[in-house]
Amino acid sequence: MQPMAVPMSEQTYNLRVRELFAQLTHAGSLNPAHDLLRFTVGAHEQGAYADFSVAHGKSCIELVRYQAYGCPHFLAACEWLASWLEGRAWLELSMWDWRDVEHVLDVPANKRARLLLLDDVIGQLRRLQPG
Amino acid sequence: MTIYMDYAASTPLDPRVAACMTECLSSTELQGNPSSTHAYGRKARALIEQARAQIAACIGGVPAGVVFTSGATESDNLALFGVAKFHAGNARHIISSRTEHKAVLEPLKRLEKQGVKVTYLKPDAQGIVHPAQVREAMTPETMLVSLMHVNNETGVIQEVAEVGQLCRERGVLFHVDAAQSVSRLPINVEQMSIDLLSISGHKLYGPKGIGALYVRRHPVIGLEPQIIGGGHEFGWRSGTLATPQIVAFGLAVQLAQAERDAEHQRITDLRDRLWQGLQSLGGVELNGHATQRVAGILNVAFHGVEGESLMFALDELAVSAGSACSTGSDEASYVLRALGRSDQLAQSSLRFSLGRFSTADDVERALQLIHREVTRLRSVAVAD
Repeated sequence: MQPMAVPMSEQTYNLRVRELFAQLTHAGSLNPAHDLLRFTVGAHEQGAYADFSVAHGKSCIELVRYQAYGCPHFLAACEWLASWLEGRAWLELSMWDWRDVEHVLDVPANKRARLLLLDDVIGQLRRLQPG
Repeated sequence: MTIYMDYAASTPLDPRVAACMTECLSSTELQGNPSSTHAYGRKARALIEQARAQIAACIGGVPAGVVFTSGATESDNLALFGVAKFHAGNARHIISSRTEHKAVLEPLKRLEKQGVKVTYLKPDAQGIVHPAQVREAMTPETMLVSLMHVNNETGVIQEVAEVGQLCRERGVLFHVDAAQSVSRLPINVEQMSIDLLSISGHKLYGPKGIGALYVRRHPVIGLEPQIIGGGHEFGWRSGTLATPQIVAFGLAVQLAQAERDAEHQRITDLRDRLWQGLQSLGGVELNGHATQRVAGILNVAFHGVEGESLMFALDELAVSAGSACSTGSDEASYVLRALGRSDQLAQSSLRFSLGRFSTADDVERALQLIHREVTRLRSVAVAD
């Protein structure tokens, strides 16, 4: 067991992670009435997974919700990605670079594999995008 | 303010012990080296011998068996390396368990590299290592059995008296890491046939940096010292004695013994309320034996919540996690895995440990926080 008497938040997670983790405003799922894309990335055995539901139009992504299981960095990254995606044109998905999240959230090197799950989200969206 | 529920990691210094230590630190009459023969040295020595007697009385031993060390880790190292090196070339087998503290497991690993054979007994799903397992593992080569009295993660109590009797019958030395038990359970090294006993100051409301190894004196045990120099501590542990720490340690042990029974019921009531409140969340499991455990330690697995996120969400609560996430590692607790828990469930486990200064208000505030955050994280997570 690792003693945690000193609050670990300030030592381990930067301010942005703490803000996002405290307010996971995009957590949840969308009403099936929307024109939805749904997919899951990651696996329980890997320690992180997320189920994304994305409402969209022909030219852009309208709403994004996710349900996720994982460490604070992963949950914060899901929240960051959901915000990044909303309102974004399909063509702009090519601008995605997981290093942006890594930088903003100051993700430690040993958690990069979890960030790459977000690459899978982008990959799924590209594959499933209309037209 | 952070709610402290990590007494198994370290207990706060009791104000009475702090006062005693401060007095000792500030007294000009106690600044002499306890090994010196002049008046200052003799005065310091007298207080050290008083502390030695206090500790011996608490564990049913003799003062001459108490060897002061820097803490239980050093005591464990001295016991294991000391016995193994003294008996080098003779018996070369040690029995221990998979759920020992790293202060025991790491020295054992090193001894294995030096040719000592080590048997690591697997506890049952409740964390108990049964005396019959020890008996079955014994060979003519066995020189030492090392078993902790109370597991630091689960609070499970091992049947050390039975194991001690077994060892005594076979002429095998018996070492017990009692870091978690001296303040919580009665110990009598003679009645429990314990040859070597590790104790820590900061687990019983004493200062950090001080501990002791009790070494049976009749008949005397062969023990190779690991720190040599001035021949202090009967030649078993050289180094100038830390008078203030030792004096405070002695008082802390005495207070722990004097107040143990009164504390036990109060802490049991707090722990039971905590467990009852956690159970009302649903999706929680107790790690370790339900009844064969000490009052102050409660280790709980939370289903449907990732361990590191749980710890982070409960930042206002000072507890310990079932993983080493704070160090950047995802490794799950080897103790919980030895009990058959999956990596995920071990990582989603928290150890709550209560003690002398825990209050009913602490428990209620902790429950409120845990309910709020576990519910939030479960709602964020995908339903299994």
